Amino acid sequence: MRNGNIASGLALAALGVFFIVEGQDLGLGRISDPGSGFMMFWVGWILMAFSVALIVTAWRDETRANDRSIWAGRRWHKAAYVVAVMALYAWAMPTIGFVAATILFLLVLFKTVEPQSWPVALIGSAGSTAVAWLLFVKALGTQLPAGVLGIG
Amino acid sequence: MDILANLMLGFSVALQPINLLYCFIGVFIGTLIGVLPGIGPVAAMSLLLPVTFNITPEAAIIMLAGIYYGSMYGGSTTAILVNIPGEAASVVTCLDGHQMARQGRAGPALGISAFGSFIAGTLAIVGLMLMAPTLARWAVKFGPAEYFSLMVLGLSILVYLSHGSLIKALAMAAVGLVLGLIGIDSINAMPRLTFGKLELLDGLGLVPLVMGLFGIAEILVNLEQKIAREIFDTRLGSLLPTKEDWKESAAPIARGSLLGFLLGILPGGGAVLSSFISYAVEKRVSKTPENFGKGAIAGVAGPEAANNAAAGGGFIPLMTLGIPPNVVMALLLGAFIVHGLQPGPLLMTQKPDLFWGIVASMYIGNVMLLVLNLPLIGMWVQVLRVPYAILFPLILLFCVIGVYSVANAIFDVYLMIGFGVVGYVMKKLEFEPAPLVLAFVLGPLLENNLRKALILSQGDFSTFLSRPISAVCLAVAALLLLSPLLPRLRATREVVAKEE
Repeated sequence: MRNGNIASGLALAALGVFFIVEGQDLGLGRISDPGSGFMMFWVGWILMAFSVALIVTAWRDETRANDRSIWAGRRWHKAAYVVAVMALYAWAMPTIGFVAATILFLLVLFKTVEPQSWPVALIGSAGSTAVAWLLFVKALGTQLPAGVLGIG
Repeated sequence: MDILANLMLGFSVALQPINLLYCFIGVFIGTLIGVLPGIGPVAAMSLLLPVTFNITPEAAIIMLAGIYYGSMYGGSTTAILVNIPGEAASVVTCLDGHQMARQGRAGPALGISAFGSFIAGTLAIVGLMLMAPTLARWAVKFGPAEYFSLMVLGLSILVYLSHGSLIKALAMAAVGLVLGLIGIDSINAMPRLTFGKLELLDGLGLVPLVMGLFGIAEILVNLEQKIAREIFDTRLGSLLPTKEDWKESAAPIARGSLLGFLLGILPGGGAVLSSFISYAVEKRVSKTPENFGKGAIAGVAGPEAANNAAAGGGFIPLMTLGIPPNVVMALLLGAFIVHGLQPGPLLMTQKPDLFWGIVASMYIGNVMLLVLNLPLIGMWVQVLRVPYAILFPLILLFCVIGVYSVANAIFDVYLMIGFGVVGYVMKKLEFEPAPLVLAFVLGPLLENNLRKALILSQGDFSTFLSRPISAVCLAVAALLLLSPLLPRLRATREVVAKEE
């Protein structure tokens, strides 16, 4: 965690600098009439101060110098995989439509993350898509992308 | 007498068939998501927020409120039977509730939890009815300086009470404040941090942010660890607690109700904290503290009452001041705004039917929950048997539909995924999302009031200190934030964080 804290402190410091620069660009105004960038600018400085405090505290914390990495022994690749599948789903939905994209999305997740049998995966993906479509599109009037199949 | 007349008005609204239906849907979904680990009331309310666009504001708020207090009921079922808290406020219920189940007393544990929740929920509504009008009359006198300082105090309390590092919580609040400023500046119409994207002109959406940080991040964390669920296979037996159970539970329920209600009003307090403090109090006042953790019914009754009373108490600052004390109330604030309403001191006078309708519906919702929970516990147990590998793709699907349908924008889905990844990394690095989300909601209000106060005082910062309410709020906030420098206060905070 020590390295994690130092890294997150650096990332927050960079974000702080970004807020300060953006705040200044937007205009600080006068104290009697603060501009659009006034709050962003000062919050940026405050964030910088917190990130420095975080880095210094982590640096001085010798007891946690040999802590295990936050990624060690975890199945983080499963999380990364699911994020990638979701991003693909979001990318495909406007083109191929909600129904086709959702069936594929669920089928891939059912078959690959903790693999289910084919009948469970097929019935689960088609059935859940049908229920979601009936509930959201038909019953609640939600507009979802129709895509090439024209169902939405 | 006024209150009675107003309450009658409230019941006339809440008892309309359509509002009854949405109240039922709310408490039913709330119980379901409370039962299911991995999706909490915040994610569920964000998910259903777009669904409320086509219904009346009364029905929308009634349903969303029902999800919140319904989840408090449902969370206890999972805690008692599976030893996994359905949502964070039920963590302590695991300690004695699951031990009772192991001793063959699952029925009375579930029963006292439902009755305790009902009694506390009802008492909280009575408190809300009595306190809200007085507070609203007082709040009319608030100016921008008072609002600004009160919001600073709210954020400070939330940060102070958050788990772990104070610096990390403060940093998250700072990031949340700036994220809240994205979009068109309401005072001079200048676009801020929009990077030329039209989708960002209206600001970041609350729903993609919350669904990402809470819903998606929770699923990603769950995916990398195998959740062992051992559902306790026992006959539930009678759900009605015995006379002896009632004797042991009455005082803890009363104490839990009062404690939960008061902590619920405090910004940053809320259901989670109150259940932990109630458990600690019950253990301390008990004549047999050694039984706690081994199936003491007081260890179930007190915290369950406290978390439900806190859920009711949380409505007070939102409805009377327009300031959400926690993330759930921030979402409700979002729902009010979507429907063109501004909660605050004027809500009660301008829309009495809405205000009192919501209050009355909470009472009806509590009765529904009692009726719903006791006979349906067997069904909730069956829901728990659905493997997580089947459940999580479905939760993801509902998240995507929920986020997309807010503005029919795929951009929001990408945002949600992005915030999901950020939330996942934040969880691993022990950064809490709650200060970020509350600051995100309060950010625009905070900035607006700060700028107005400075314009009105012609740039004189002493306006924040010369007005008594503002000065007190800022002094308390400063004391809390400087607490790490004071050893005695630091020790108190560490005890609270440890107990959480």
